This record gives sequence, structure tokens and C-alpha cells, in this order.
Amino acid sequence: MNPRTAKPLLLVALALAVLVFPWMVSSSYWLNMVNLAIGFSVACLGLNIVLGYTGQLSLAQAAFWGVGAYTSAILTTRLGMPVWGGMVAAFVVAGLFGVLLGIPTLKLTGHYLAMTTIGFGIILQLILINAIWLTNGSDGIPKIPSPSIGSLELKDPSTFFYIAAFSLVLLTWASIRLKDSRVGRAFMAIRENEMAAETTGVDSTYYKVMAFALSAAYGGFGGWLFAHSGSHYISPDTFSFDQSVVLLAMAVLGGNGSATGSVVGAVLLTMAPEVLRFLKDSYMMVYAAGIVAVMIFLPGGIASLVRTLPVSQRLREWWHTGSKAAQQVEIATDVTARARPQPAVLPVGAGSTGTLLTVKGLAKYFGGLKAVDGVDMEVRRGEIQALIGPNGSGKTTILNMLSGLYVPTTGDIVLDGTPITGQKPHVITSHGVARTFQNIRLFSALTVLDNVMIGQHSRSTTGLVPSIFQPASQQAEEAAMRKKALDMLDFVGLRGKEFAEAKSLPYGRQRVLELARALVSDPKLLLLDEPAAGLNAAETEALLDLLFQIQDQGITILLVEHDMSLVMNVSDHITVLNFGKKIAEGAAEEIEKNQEVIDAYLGTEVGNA
Amino acid sequence: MLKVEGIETWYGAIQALKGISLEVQQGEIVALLGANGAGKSTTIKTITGMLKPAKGRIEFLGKDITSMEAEDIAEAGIACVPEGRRIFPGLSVSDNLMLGATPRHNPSKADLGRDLERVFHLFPALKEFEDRLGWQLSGGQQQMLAIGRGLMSGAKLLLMDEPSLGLAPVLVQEVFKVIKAINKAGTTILLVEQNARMALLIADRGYVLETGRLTLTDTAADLLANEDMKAHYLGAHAHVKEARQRRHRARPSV
Repeated sequence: MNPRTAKPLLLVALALAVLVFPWMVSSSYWLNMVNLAIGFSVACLGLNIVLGYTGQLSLAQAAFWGVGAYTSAILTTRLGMPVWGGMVAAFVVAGLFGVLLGIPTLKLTGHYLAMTTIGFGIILQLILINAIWLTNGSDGIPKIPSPSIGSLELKDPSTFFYIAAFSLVLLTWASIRLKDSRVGRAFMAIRENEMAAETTGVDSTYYKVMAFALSAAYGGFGGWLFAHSGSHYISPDTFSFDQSVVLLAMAVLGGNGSATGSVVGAVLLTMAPEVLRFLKDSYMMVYAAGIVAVMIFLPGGIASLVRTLPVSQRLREWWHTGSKAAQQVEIATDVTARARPQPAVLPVGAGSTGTLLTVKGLAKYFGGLKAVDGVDMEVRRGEIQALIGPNGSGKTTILNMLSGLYVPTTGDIVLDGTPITGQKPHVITSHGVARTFQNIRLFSALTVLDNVMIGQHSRSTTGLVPSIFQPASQQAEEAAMRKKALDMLDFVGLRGKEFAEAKSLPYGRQRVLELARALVSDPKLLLLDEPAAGLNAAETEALLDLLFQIQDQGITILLVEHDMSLVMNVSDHITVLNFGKKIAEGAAEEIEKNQEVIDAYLGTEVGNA
Repeated sequence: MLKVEGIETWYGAIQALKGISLEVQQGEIVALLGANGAGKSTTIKTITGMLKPAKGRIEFLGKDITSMEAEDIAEAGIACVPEGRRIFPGLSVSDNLMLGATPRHNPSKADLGRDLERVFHLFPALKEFEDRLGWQLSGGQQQMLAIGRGLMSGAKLLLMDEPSLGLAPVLVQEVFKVIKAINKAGTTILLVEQNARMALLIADRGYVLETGRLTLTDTAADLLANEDMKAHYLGAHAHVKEARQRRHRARPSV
């Protein structure tokens, strides 16, 4: 069947299934369990955004769950706010708490981040216990009202189930949509390689806070579902660190990075203890052993198992046939088959002379080590300039300052009349500087196409809300980005590999992909850190042609490289560093003969190195 | 000394080695050449036990090591200087070097001290930065450290994966001199290199890999003279100069 017609049918089938479900499960005990599982699922969906998509470990999800539950419970019981108003408040207030957690933890990663989130969760729980005037302390809040539609109060678990199921479907849908959008890609770029994400134009500060806020808002919504169903009673001990760990286990067991996976994980771990109760005393042990076994044999969670099944791969292909993205890739392939489009040669006009980059008195000290010690340098527009020098002479440090990864100790950097000294990497990228890294930094687990799509982050604008709802403007931008990405892959010779994982490419191709990711951001200045490292003679030659083609497009290149067969032949101008200081400057012919450069760097076998 | 027979190694569903056989004799330097993705590093990883071959046999000093664990292979006397250095970034230079000696059986303090001095003699820069942490070294110094660490194992066979990667020309020349010197002092070497010319200048023999298969093997001198080799692996410099001239003709203004 064609997915175009099948998708609405599937949706109808899903709606029917939801509709008849409460009649199939007549026991209100089990329906309450299902509602509870849905509340957990929503919280796990949130955790999946911050942990699965963005790669930030948070152990405070139960606290946000609690913030949502308490916000709505207090507003509805004390102030008599309608339950729907409580829902919005739970979502928003928890989201704000997420921002509160996000901001101080920006600089932290790994176990430091985990520790901080644990602390945050504990503080919130202590507030719930001790702010008795607000929360009623450890007695908790009883008699939380049920939501109602018109005069119908959704009091019994079967009617509340509709609300819960509807929100779950909607929130799962939103989080799946988000994954395949500009914002979702920015999240995943941070997860894959934060430094590369920054230099590719992603403001990691902004997106990490956004991920924390969104995750917390989902958590808050889960709390709202919890507070207004089941026993209609909440108390602080529910929202403990232990519960955060359980939520984490659910998200990881289901499959880190998969929205549906986290729902499956949440449902499984909520239901399993109930199903296992017949084992009496040992049921918790069996339950725990089950979790351990899954983690040992399925480290990627249940989602990774499902993903690798041949049947699900075929299903996915079927699902994507005829989608806009697939069509676009196919059309572009047809065009390639007919004629390889030539990259547009930018007019090398009036603005093409003069200086693009001016560096004055640039220095970077690491403690007592003067890595770069007062370097003056100019890069002329449209030229290929090489920066060479012995290992440790400060070449990469200069590139890191030019791209914003290091803040210079002193000195000025001016790009095309704009001072960019000490700016953040993503700001510098948007000013028109792109770079590659000495040891390739790709978004390895993402596809080749996604890597190049993220490369256009600084040249696109779609924000969070349109990323989820995907209106025409979002789709148009997405299509334009995809087209540009495909053209770029064509230009560097990576077409046909769009959907390969970046890390599956051979080393040399990965270098080319990194170059494509940099180029697609429309840089004025391209910084290349040892692009020929690890390439053989034939590949180096291909790289050389590529560099000339890039130059022909009007892009200025600053190149750090040790392969003299490349440097001496592509460079219009060469700057030589030693011990952080400039020791020579000039055309290749002059540099080759400079005795100081030969002694410090070239050695005597330049001709056959 | 090392005998590899028809090894086939897979990465999941992708077959990286499609039956590689090679030999290294005591005292030799053997170069393993080929393009990216040809399987050079996979061969090294299979020999050192980091990857297990699906088929084939690896023999070292007459002993079958095919299914041995990496740490046992290291103990048997094969050391590796891995691609991309892989030094321990949080440890000092001397700790990095001492860890290289892990595979040795109860080495005496005097022996270790003597070998350490030998490494410092080869790489005076390491002596100077003895107490610095791994990550504080520059790329070239890290490479020196990785080689030094390999030497500390007292291995009979040293596998080197791209030792010239990311080094300044003067250091590349230095590294190859050191490799030759290490070999002269009695260590057998299997050398993987992109820099085919330099590798063949110091090697006795060479093997060429293409997409997981051996396509060519000969003495280093004959490989250097081989026309195919010149075109594909050695001749970049000449070609590049032509490209430059082509470009000068096309764009006289540049």
C-alpha cells in the first residue's frame, strides 16, 4: 500500500484502538496503572530530549515531575483554578525550573553534570517538604480535582485515560517531529560533538537550556497527569531521587534517543512489577535482574533491537517512500546522472582585493607556556595562505583563536572590517568563518546529509515551535537546505552516501565530509587544520584540485598543513611560525630557500618528503 | 617471525579484510602500503588482537596467536604504536613510558631505567618534558611518546600505524631515522604508512593493499621503481607541480 493513503488509515486505527481500550480493560486498577504509565512515559519523553537527543545526563526528572504535579495541585485546590489551567501552568512552571537548572550546568558535562542535577532534585524535594505554607509539607495535598469537559467530570480512570492517551500521542508526535528538524539536529550535534557544533554555528548554550526547559516541561506535564488521576493525592516522597533513577532506567532501557523507545521503556517498567507480583517476595529481585539483563544484552535499549530487525528496516523504507526528503534526494540523483552541475563561480569583482583578515599582536598563554606570542598576520581576500611551522609552534592555537574556541590573551582579530576577537564560535561562524579539525570532528552517529544540514545552521532560522509544527515556511527552508546540502555533497564527490552514518565512511572521505560541512555555511574565510593528514598521494592530489575549486568560488583559505607537496603548490602566501612567533613570511619560492625555515621546519629533504 | 595466513576480518556486515597473507622475517622492516580504507589499520588491529578474524591464522614465533587476547599478544612480544598516538593524556610522560613496559615479566629496575634512558636518548624532547602531562605535548611530541612507549615493552616485533601522521617535515625525517635506528638495534618492524616513499626508503620489503586484498609485494627497491606504484602512491609531488602549472596558465593573475 502507498504510505500516502496508509498513514491516515493508521491514524484512524490508532484512534479506534484508544477508544475501545478502556472497554477491553475493565478493571479500574489496571486502568489506573495504565494512566500512571502514561504519566511516566511523558516524563521519559522529556528525559529523552535532554539525554537521548542532546546527550546531557539529567537525574532531576522526578523533581520536574513533582514541580508539575504540585503547581497544578496547588493552583486547583487552593486557588480554584480550572484543571486545564493547571495543566498549562504545570508545563510552563516546570519548563522555567528547567531553565533554572540548565543555566548553571552549562559548563558541566558527564558525572559533574549528573551530580549537579541530583543536587537540584534533592533541593526541590526538600522545598516540597519544608515549605509547608505552600505545599502542606509531608502531609501532601489530597483531593486534587479531576479535569472536566463541559459538565462531564473525567473522574474515573477510563475517561481520564482518553486525556492521558491523547496527550501521550501528541507529545510523542511532537518529540519525533522535533528530532528531524533544525532544532533537533542542533540538539544532536551537541550530543555528538559539542566543540564541532559550536564552530558549525550552533549556540550550544542556547540549545542546551532549551533542551533542559523542554525536558522539564514534559516532566511537568507528566506530573500533571499523575496529580489529577489515580489517588488524586500527592506527597513529596513520590518525587525523590530514586524516582529520577527509575525514570532514567525507563528512558535508557527503552532506547536512548528514541521517543517511542522511551514510551515502551516507561510502560514496561511500570507494568513489570505488577505482572511479577505473583512471585511474592522475590518479585523485585526478578524485576531488577531483568533490567540488568536487558542492559547487558541490549546496550542500545529495546529501540536498538527493533531498529536492527530487517522487518523494521523495510517498514521504515516504506514509510519514507514518497516523503519530500526522499523525493528531493531522488530528483537530485537523476540530475547528477545526466550532468554534473558545475559549482557557480562567484564573480571575482571589485571587492575581491585587499585584506580579509587582519591579526595584530595575537597572543595566547597557557599558564607560563606562551603558545602564541604576539603574531601579526594578514590574509588577503581570495588567496590561499598557509600557516606552517614545527609541531607545537602555535598553528592550531591560532586557528582556535580565529574560530573562537580560545579567547586570546591579547591581540586583535578583524574579519572584513568586523572585530571578532574573543567572540563565541557560533557568532564567528555567522560572521563567515568556517573550519575543519586536525583530528576529524564529525557528528559521527548522524548521517552524511544531516552533517551537512547542520553546517547550514547559522544560515537558517527555524525555531522550536515551527520545528515541531512544520508549517510551509519551515518546509520551504528545510527543502532549500536539503538542496544546498545535496549540491555540496555533489561538489565534493560524496553523492550517493547521503544516508550513510558519518563514522562509516573511510578516513579520507570523512575529511571531505568535514570540509563539505564547513563550506556549506557560506564562509568568507575557511580555516583548514591539516586537511591532507592521513591522505595518500592520489587523495592529496584530489584535495589540491578541490582547494583550487573552492578558491575559484571566491572563498579565502587559511591552511595549516605539514604536507609540503600540498603547501608549496597551493599557497599564494606562506607564514612560518616557531615557538609561537612568526619567523618568516612570503611566497612559496622564498620560504623554500629561507635558511631559518629549513633549519626549524623543512629539513633537508624537501624535494622528496 | 610473524606469519599471517588468509585472514578475513569483518566490521559487522562489512568485510574489511578479504584474505590477507603476509610474512615478516626477524630483523626486517616491512612496509604495509595502500589507500584509505584498504585495510591497513584493520590488519594491524587483527594482528594485535583488537579485532578477531573470522577466518585465517596468525602465527608469531611459531605459536598460533589467532584467538589470543590483546594483552596476551602484547605479552608474547608484539607491541603497537597506534594510529593517532593514543597516549594517556592525563598521565605524565614518564608514566606513559613506564606503562609501555606493562607486558614485561618482572623487569628489573635497572633494566627499566636503562630502556628509559635509551628512549630519552632517541627523543631528547621527552626527557625535557618528563613531568609534563600527555595532553600538554604537541602532536609531534605525542608521536615520539607513543613510539617510546612501544619501545619500552621490550617487544621483538613493533607494529607502527602511520607514525608520520601530522608531523612537520623535519620531524618526519627524524621519525624515519629513529625507526631505522630501532631496527638496527634489533627490533623487527611492520610499518603502515601513507608516506609510501619515505617508508620504502627505510624498508626491506613492502606489501600493497587495495580494498582488503594484497595486490602487490616486492622488495622496497623494486617497489620504488615500480611504475604503478609511482603513479598511485609515490608520484604526488610531480603531479602536484603539474597541477600548479596548469593553474598558472589558466589564471595568470594568481
